Amino acid sequence: MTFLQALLIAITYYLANSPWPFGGLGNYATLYRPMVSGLVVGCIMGNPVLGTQIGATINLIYIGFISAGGSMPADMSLAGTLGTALAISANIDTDAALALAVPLGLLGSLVWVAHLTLCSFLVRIADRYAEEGKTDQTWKVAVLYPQLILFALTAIPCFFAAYYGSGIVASVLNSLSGTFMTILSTIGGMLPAVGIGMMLMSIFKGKAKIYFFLGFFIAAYFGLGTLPVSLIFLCVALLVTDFKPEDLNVSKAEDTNNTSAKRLSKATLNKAWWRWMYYFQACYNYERMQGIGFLHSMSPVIAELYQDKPDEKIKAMKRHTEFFNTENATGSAVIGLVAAMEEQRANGADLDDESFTNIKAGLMGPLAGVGDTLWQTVMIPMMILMFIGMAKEGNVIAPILYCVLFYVVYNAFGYWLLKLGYNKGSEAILNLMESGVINKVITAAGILGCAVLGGLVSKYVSLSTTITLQESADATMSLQKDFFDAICPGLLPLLLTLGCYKMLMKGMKSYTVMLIIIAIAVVGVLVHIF
Amino acid sequence: MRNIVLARIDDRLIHGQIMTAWLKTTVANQIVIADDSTYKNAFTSRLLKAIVPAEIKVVIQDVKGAGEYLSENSIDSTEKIILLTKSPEAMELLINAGIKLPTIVLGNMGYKQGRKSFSRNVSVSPDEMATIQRILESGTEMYYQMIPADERVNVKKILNK
Repeated sequence: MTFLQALLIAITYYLANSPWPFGGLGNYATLYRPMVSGLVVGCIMGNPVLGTQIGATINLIYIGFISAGGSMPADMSLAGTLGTALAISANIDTDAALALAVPLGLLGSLVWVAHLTLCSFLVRIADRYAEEGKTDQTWKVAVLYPQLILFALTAIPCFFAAYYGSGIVASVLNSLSGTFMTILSTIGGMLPAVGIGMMLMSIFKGKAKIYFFLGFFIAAYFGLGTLPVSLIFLCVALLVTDFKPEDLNVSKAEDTNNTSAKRLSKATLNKAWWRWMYYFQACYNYERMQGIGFLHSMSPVIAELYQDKPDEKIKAMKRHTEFFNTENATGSAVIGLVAAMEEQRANGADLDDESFTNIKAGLMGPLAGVGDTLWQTVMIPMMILMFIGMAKEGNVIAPILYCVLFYVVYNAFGYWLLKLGYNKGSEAILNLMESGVINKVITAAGILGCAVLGGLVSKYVSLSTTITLQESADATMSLQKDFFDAICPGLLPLLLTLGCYKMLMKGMKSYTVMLIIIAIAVVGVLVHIF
Repeated sequence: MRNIVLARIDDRLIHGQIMTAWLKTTVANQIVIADDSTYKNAFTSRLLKAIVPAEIKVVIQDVKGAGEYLSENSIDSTEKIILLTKSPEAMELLINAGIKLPTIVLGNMGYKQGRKSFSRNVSVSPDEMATIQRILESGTEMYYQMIPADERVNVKKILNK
């Protein structure tokens, strides 16, 4: 790997975790995901097709990973960037690349903890800006300083690992025997079962279970890819859940916020929302979580409303540096609502600090509950699943299509909630949650997700046995070809996936399950079962 | 007494970690919230009830009411309850009311005035610290753990640091 390539890989890893331009931008859903970073890394390494294939393969095991409320089980972005880069430079096959990427994901989660710890120290600076009413300075503490820290934590170690690691990985792998490579490939073929099993934990329940098998059989018998399976079951899901466009008109309430004399300009409200959507977690820290991000988002609102009232400005800044933590797209409703409340206060309404604290504290938990479930467990994985089949076949357009689809849906949802909170207030947010429409979407996405996961098992989990039985003196029977494949192609991967799901549901940690899979693969190859 | 599968201190009550992780691994079918202010707040109560899937029952009570509710014998033998409080105080009151809690998971306690950092996402005030000590002395084990996939850390270990 050249110096420039290693540098670009390191920057890609940083960007995947930053607010710029595709990474944190949108709930860690784009460049953060290996399917997308695989393409970028592939371009850097001079082989976009292979990069996309490897990235999509790595993405399979992280499809069910969720980071909720500041927890981080593994860093898929390091697995996706550095893993893909090392695999391309060592010239190993995509399945073996997976076995290489898993430990990287585990290492990467240390960066997350370090960043949240270090950013806790920045909180003091934010408090000082609030004391002094400096709304124009908040970007420094909310974006600039924490991102410098993050750059040091991500890009620098990643650069050294890429630059010096590629040679080591290549020479180690090249010196290993064929049996070892067979083991690596077998492990790589089996590991996606763990990722699929993890995602099944969220959606494999009730009647949705049957769609998992339907998706599996359709893919196994008719050979359909994941996109056709997605489209078919998207229709099925909409039918089954009886989804109607009118469902989205949840609040018939009139606009409540139409009496204020002094109004925020539209540009300011949009600016606050934009800052929230894309920089909400730029200064994520253990002490206040997204509190500093909230202050940064509210700063333009405060600056405009309290232009000539320095005391009010300071009070407002102080009340928005408090602890805050939610899912950001759904949390847009809080930004809208709080902006409207500030506007009312600026017009003389009797709203004290406590009423702001109460509404923020009351909404952040429940909205995170809904938002994390909606986006992390169903919407993002579901949209990735639609395109992951194409990406795995080496289609470089697939990750791009996914990103476009994601941005459109995600921003539309966030902006809708911003407006709902701003124009119609807290009652409308409650109406939305009580209407059950979000649960309908979650159910529909669960059906679709189950079906596509079934299809994935058939196509991208691989496990076959080499056992042959001596039927008579001159006839042998291949257990795989003449028995398993005769019943249904992909039967062993299906059993393997369900086994992983069972182990995970018993409370085993995903890394324990992965170790069990690795042990089975090693033994299986050595005794010539696989 | 009703069947409590998880007792957890978490000042955001039901949020992403409960919805995406704990509900799954505990296979709970009921959430009991013991919190005086939430009980009095009709808006938050309605919101909390609205966000969980329909098959999961949500009971919101003040600490006293929750104590009475939890000490009843359940009619339904499949009942599995996640008990949530915002603070160690409420847990102590429940224990004093006769609710047996062999282990408590310390999840999230956000920073606010008067609290100091305890461990990553948990901040405690001196009073809360004393309560935690008393709970530990009463024989209840406490573990710091955000989500089931995290290693659980004995709170005694953090205290001894």
